[in-house]
Amino acid sequence: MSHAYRAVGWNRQKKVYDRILTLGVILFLGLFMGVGALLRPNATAETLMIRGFGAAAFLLLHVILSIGPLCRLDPRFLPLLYNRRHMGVTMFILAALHGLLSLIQFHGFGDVHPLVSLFTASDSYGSLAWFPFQPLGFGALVILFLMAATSHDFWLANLGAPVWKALHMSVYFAYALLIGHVSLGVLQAETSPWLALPVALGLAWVLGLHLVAAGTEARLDRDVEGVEFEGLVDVCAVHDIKDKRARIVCLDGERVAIFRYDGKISAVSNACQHQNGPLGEGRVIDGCITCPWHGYQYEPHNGSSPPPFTEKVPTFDVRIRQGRVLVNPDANAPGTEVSPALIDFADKGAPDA
Amino acid sequence: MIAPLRRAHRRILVTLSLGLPLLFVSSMFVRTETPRVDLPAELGLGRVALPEAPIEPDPLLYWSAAPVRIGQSLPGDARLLGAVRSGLWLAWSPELAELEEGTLFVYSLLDQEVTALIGEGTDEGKAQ
Repeated sequence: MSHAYRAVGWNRQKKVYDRILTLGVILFLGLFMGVGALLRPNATAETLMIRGFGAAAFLLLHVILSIGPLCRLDPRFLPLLYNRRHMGVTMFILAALHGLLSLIQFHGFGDVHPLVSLFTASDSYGSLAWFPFQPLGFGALVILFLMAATSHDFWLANLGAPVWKALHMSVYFAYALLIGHVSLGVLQAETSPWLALPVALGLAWVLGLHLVAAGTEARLDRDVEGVEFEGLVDVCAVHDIKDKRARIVCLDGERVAIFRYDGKISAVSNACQHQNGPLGEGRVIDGCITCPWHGYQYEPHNGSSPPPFTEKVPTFDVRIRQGRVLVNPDANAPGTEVSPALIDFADKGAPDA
Repeated sequence: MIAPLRRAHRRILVTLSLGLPLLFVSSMFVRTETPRVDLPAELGLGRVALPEAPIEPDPLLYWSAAPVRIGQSLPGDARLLGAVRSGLWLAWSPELAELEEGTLFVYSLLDQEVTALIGEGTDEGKAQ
């Protein structure tokens, strides 16, 4: 990662991911417009395209919002997360095409500017049935544009992961606007339950998935209630941690990943500097902690990426006492060297898993 | 580190979990509103009844001096007055007040055909 712009580093996984994504979008659009033309033979190509692009973008947004919680619940979904940003940019392009064609078809031939027409065609903000749904879609499109425009690692490096993450959490606001856009727009005109049902199921799926994932994660955010010894907190036994793996604990409200590797114990922040991925769910590969999301690596004893990379995460002082792992809850500055705690044979306890 | 982000994420999730189902369900209820509307009195049109049946997608309200029947394409002299949604007026045109006698009708942009005559057989559908 660098503050200078670098083009996307293509690798085989990204190419396969993008091919599958492109093929899926083309198939969906072909199916949607083909069936639409059969059901409504008089429908114009513009109308079918407007609806096809809109439906594809809305569906893709549901897929994107599902990936995060699915990965929290089952690591087998991690390959979907690897190139999620390309999916987000694809979704924005589809949404932009929907918006542009709608603007031309419904607002492009009047005597006022199309954007002025978009916001002034209706001012019935006091009525749910008459509510101007198009500005809701426009608002969502602006948010999706900001997200797509800042999706490159260049912005991630310049803004920093917390700011970048906060900006990209506005996807939830865009989703809320789009639920309003669809519910108060097309579903007011198209009264078939076969259209309302998928929207309801999609909403229930996204919200339900997030709530289930949040429930399973809640236990990780409960502070460890271990005995304190000389300012360090007893977090677990040495044998509770599998070799080359980590145990994640919460200390003072922050998650800490405690890794066991090569007869040693080290502790670092659980948040990867890249996109705040869960380092503690990764493994030690070639002597480095490896993030399960995008493969960013850090040396366990100092939280620094191996040269020439420059990423750093906070480290924590750690000791072993009578087979128990003790961690100082006060984080060291990112990249601070900390001597790993050495595991004596007597501390080892149960055999490595 | 990222505890504040996690808290913000949790708050957003709780808000959406309460708000979005409410919005969706409410929007489903309002679309059953009766498709009838009182136009502004100064137009001199009185009450205009729109079709009870669900209106076709992307409907537009037109006026034509020529006879109009359901299923036909757009008459050559048709004048666009505004959009209709859920059987209700989304917008209306001041031109209504200036129209001579003719027929108000709903035209489906999607199906490219006339889908309903407004106030057919009564004085309601006639611009006066």
